Amino acid sequence: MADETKITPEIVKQRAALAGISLDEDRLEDIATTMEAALAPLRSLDLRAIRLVEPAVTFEAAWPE
Amino acid sequence: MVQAVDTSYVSIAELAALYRQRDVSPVEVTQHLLERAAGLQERLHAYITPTPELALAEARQAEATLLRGETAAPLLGIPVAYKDIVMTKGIRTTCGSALHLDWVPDRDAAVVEQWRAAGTVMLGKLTTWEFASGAQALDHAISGARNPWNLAHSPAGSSSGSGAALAAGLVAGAIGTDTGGSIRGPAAYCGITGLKPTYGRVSRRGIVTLSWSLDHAGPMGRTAEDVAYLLTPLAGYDAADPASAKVPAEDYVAALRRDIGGLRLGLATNVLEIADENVRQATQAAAEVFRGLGAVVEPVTYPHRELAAALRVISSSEAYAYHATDLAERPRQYGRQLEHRTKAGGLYFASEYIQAQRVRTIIQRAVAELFQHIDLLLCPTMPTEPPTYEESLADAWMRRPGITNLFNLTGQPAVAFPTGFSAQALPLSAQLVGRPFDEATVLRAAHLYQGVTDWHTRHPAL
Repeated sequence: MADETKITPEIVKQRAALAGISLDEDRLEDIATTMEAALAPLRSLDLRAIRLVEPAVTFEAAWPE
Repeated sequence: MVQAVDTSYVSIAELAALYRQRDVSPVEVTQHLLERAAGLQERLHAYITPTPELALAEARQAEATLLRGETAAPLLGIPVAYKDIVMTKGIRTTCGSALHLDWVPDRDAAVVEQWRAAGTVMLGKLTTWEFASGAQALDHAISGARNPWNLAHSPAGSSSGSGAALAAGLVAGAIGTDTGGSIRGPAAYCGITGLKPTYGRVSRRGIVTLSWSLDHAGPMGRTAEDVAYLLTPLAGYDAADPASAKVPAEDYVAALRRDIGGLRLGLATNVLEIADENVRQATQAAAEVFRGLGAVVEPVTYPHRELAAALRVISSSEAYAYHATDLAERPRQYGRQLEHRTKAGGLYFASEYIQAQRVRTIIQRAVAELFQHIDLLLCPTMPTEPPTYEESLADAWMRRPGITNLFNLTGQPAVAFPTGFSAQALPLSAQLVGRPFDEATVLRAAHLYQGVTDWHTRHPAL
C-alpha cells in the first residue's frame, strides 16, 4: 500500500480497487485533490486529545412512533 | 393577461390584502404567473414541470374560500412551487436526473402537505441540480436554470429554479433544500431571501436524500417577512423524519415585531477574509446598518473554520451510500461530474467518516462557546458574485472553499439576504446565523435590515 499521508491519483486508484468502484482515468486527479482537501482536517486531529468527543451521528433507542 | 395591479413581485402580506379587498383574485394571479413563467421558460429554465391545471384548481378553491369570507389564513391563495426533489403525489419528480425523468411518486412530501393545508396554490416543480448536488452540464438531460439578473451567469444551486423563479417574479414562495448551501447560494446569486432552518426544524419526509446528517429543507422568498410567513406552517415535529426535533415552533411573523436593540452581533472576520473585496465591503456595510438599528457589532473569529472541509467526507460518504446501486448499474445516467464525485464517497474509509463526524462535534462545541458572547453571527453568503454559467461548471470552481457549509455542519439556522450589487449589476448577499431553533431572531434581524435598505426591492429586467 502506498503512503496514505497524501491522496494521489494512485491512492485513489488503489482505494477504488479495494471498494470495487470503477473510475475514469481523467477524473482521478480531481478526485484526489478533492479528497486530499476533505481529509486534511482529520489528519490535523490529535486523537489522544479528543478521546471524549463522540461522532455527531447518534443512535436513538426509542422505537419509531 | 394584464392585471390592474402587477402581482409578479407583491409581498405575501400585500397579496393577502389584495385578496381580502377583492382587488385581485387567486385565479387571476395564478393565470398571470403561469403565463409569465411560460413566457420566460425558454430563457430561464426555472421549471422542470409546471402544473397549470392543478394550480388553477387550487386557485379556484382558494377563491371560493375567500368568497365565503374565510380570510384568516395568511397563505390562502399564495402561489408557490417546489424544488423537484420534493415528492409530489401523481406529479413527476425528476430530481433533476436522467434516472428519474418519469418517476411519479405515490405520496406528497411533508412540506407539500403543510403548505397545501395552509391554502397555498402549487404552480409546479422547479429546476434542481442533479440530485441536489452536481451542477447541470450544458449537455445534461435537464437544462440548468439561469440567473434572471444575467442569463449568462449561474443562479447557484442546487435550488437553482427556486432562486430563479423568485427573482423573476414567477412565485411568491418556494421550497429549497440545503446540504452545503443549496438554499442560501441561490438566494445570494438571485438576490432573494432564503432560510436554512435549524437541522430538525422542518420535516424532510418525502424529500429525496442527498446526505442524511446534513440535509435541511426550508423556505425561500423575496423578503424575510415572506420567509417568516412561509416558515410558520412548516416548522414542527414530524415523527416520520428521524431527524425531526421535538422543539416547540412559534409564529415567526409575530416574532418580527420586536426590535434588535442591544442584540450582540459578531462579524466573522476570518470568514470575511475568504470573500472577494466587493462581497466583504457589502457585508461590512450591512454590519453598519445593524449598528444603526441598535445592535452591538463586534469582530469575532469563527472557530475551526479550517476543519470545515471535513463536511465533504460526510456528504460524499452518505451520498454514495444512497446512490451505490444506481452508480454501479447505470453510471451513465448520471452527469459525469456527479457520477465521479459521488463515487468518490465510496473511497473514504469508515474510520474517516467517523472522524469527520467527530470534527463536527468539535466545531459545534466551539461555536456554542462563541454564542455565549453573541446572539447572531454575520458573514458573507457566497465568497464571490455569481460566476458565468460555464465558470461554475469547472472542477476548480466546485472545489473552492465554501462559507454556507459551516452551518450545515453545526445545524444552526441561517438566512441569506441581499446586501448590494456588484459592478456587473449582479446580487451580493450576507447571512445571519443564530442559535439552534432561534429562527425568530434570525428572521427578525433580517426583516429590520430590509426595513431600512432597498436591495430586496430591486428586480431584474426581463
